[in-house]
Amino acid sequence: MTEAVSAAIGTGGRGAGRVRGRTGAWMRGQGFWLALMSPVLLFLIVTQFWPLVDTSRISVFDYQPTRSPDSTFVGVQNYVDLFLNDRRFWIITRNSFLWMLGSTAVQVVVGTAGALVLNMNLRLRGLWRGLMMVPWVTPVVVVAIIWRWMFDGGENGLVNYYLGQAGLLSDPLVWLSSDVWVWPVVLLASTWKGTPFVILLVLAGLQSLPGELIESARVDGAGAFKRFRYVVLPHLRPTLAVTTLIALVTVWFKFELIWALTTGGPAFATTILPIYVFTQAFRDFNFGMAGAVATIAMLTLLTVVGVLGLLTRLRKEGSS
Amino acid sequence: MSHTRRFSRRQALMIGVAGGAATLTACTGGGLGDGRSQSDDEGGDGSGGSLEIVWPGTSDPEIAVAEEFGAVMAEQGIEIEFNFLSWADMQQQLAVRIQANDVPDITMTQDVTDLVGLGALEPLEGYLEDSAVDTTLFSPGSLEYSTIDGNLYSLPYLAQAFTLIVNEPMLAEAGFAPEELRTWDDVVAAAAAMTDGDRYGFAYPLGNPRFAFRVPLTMGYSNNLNLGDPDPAAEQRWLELLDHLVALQPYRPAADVAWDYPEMWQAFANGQVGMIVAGTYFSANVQPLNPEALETAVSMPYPAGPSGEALAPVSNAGYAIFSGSSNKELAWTVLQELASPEWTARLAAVVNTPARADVTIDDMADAVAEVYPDAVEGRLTQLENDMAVIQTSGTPLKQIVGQPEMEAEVQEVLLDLLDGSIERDEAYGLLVERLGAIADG
Repeated sequence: MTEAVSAAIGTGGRGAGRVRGRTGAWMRGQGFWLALMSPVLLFLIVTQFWPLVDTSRISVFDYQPTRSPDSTFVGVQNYVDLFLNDRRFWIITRNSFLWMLGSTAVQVVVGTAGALVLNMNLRLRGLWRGLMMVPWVTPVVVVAIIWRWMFDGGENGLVNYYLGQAGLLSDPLVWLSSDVWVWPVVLLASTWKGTPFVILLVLAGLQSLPGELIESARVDGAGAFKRFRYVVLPHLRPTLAVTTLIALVTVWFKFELIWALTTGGPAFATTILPIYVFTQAFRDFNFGMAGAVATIAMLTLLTVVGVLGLLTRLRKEGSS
Repeated sequence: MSHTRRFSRRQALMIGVAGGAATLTACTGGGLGDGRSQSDDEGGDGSGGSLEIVWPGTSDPEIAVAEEFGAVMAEQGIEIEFNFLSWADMQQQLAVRIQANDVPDITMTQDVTDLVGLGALEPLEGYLEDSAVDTTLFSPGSLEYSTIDGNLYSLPYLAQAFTLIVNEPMLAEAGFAPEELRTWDDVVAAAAAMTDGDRYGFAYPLGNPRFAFRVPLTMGYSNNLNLGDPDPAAEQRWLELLDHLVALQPYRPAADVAWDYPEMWQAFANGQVGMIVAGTYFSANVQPLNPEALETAVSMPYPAGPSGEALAPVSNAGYAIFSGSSNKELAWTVLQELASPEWTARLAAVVNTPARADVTIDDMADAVAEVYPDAVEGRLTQLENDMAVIQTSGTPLKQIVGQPEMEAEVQEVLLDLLDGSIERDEAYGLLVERLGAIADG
């Protein structure tokens, strides 16, 4: 063996050793956990990330397969059409914010109040806690049918009937076609359906509140409101932040309740962006435009969640 | 110890890679995403094999017919997998499957326009030429509804007509007989006479875009007007239609602006409403609510408008073969069997009317007795009446490209017109502008 060959082998051997060393170190570090997580990561990439990317890709094409089998690259034209030429888009965007913020706010407020009640020493507390879950486990379509019947605009509607009996209504009110009343009804139905989830999370947060804290506040002379304001609420803040975040995301995309209750009507009065995505894609077969609406919906949600996360972080940093 | 630990990591890596591969395989449909159906490897000569049929008939009798048909085919060595889903869900599912090149073999279908637009359906002309199917036997309008650019895309088994349905006792109480309803003015007069307290002469379910469109569509056919064609030459007929809708407004329940079909059926079955625009699917929807309503209801073509004559637009429900099916010959064999008089009679007993003239009331009587035990006479009367309406006043329902988009526009404009937000002329202008934009693509 020549010196050169021997040197080469020597160098190669040291190089390979270094590579093995680096690989081993990487494996001992993040590689091992990455390998364990890879099935889940692959699943998320294939079923979540790729569809999101592809939706954004479609949004820059004119793709209406029932009119033409070919898709044409149009750049941002779909977005321009939505922002400038679609007379419904801004109404639908406003509706989406009303739906997301209104529904979430009411759910969190009512849910927190409900959790406080269910955390008290009530008789048959287990039964009430169990019954509280009924709306949450009832299928959305069933909920919508029940609420649709309750708010039927004729004399047969349950709400009209009882309000009439109580002398509060002389003529039946057509709730679901009224520009004034349709949103309160939809938000009420959404609150009824979604509040148990908030109650569940807040109740879990309350269970972790040490009894000694409340007791010492009481000994110090704090009344019920002050105990809630200065002891319970600060303790619940992280739970409420997470709950609000989850509720925002689920409410934003949960369009089936509105769809089953009003089909987005009257006209487009209760249509929100996810409903618009659905109708553009599967009613009008305008996949390019549906992609643009979906991308905007996605970015809007990311922005809202980002702002909320930032606010929570700033508050946390401020308090620490 | 360290050796054992490294070995475990390698094992974990292998498990991870294998798991990832399995996940990918599962997510990509197990190899079915290449446009070939499961029947690819089966024989295509009609002697055996397997097929998937999309069957959007989810009532118990319709599922029972499918299962019996499947059993009969299985005896002949043909395995049929039925995909049961609602008509509403069908369009969505098929759209996704067509995009993914994962199509079934056969589907029930009504309006073939979108499926043909998607390039998904196989033209049937070539198959018909070599078969024993006699196309002269089909009801007026039923074959035309499945024909686009001269190509037939589905073989009809049911004919469906849109008609005016009248509660005869309510009409008689108001001093009218069904045969006296000859013109739009007669309809308004009858509606006015029937309206009394909490009973109304007419209902228009405006809560759902599809039905908000279907009512004026049906009326339009009796006024020589196609709602999908906003031709300026048709202005007078449009204005007459809008005037007619406004004239009926005082005789409708205020709540019907938010109604879908179920609320309308309920109001009619309860005798709260005297007249509705519906169709030959009336029996199947009203029988569960009030079987007696089948005996007291009379259907007729919508009476003549000022510029037209009384006509009933006829569409169909048919069977179509997907062009992506690799077992088309077998699919055609099965499709002919499905569209035979025997199986057509079974399904027509449930809903609508048979698309073929060689299926008679007697052929359907046994199945009617099974499906409508509380309303045998009523259902047979409805069938007889509907078949006569189609024979005498049936006219092909024209396909409208972009109809679902138009439905939403018509609903929005008519809601504004009927609640007084806009006047007739403005409503006409908006309809022409918006429907024209959709028609022009």
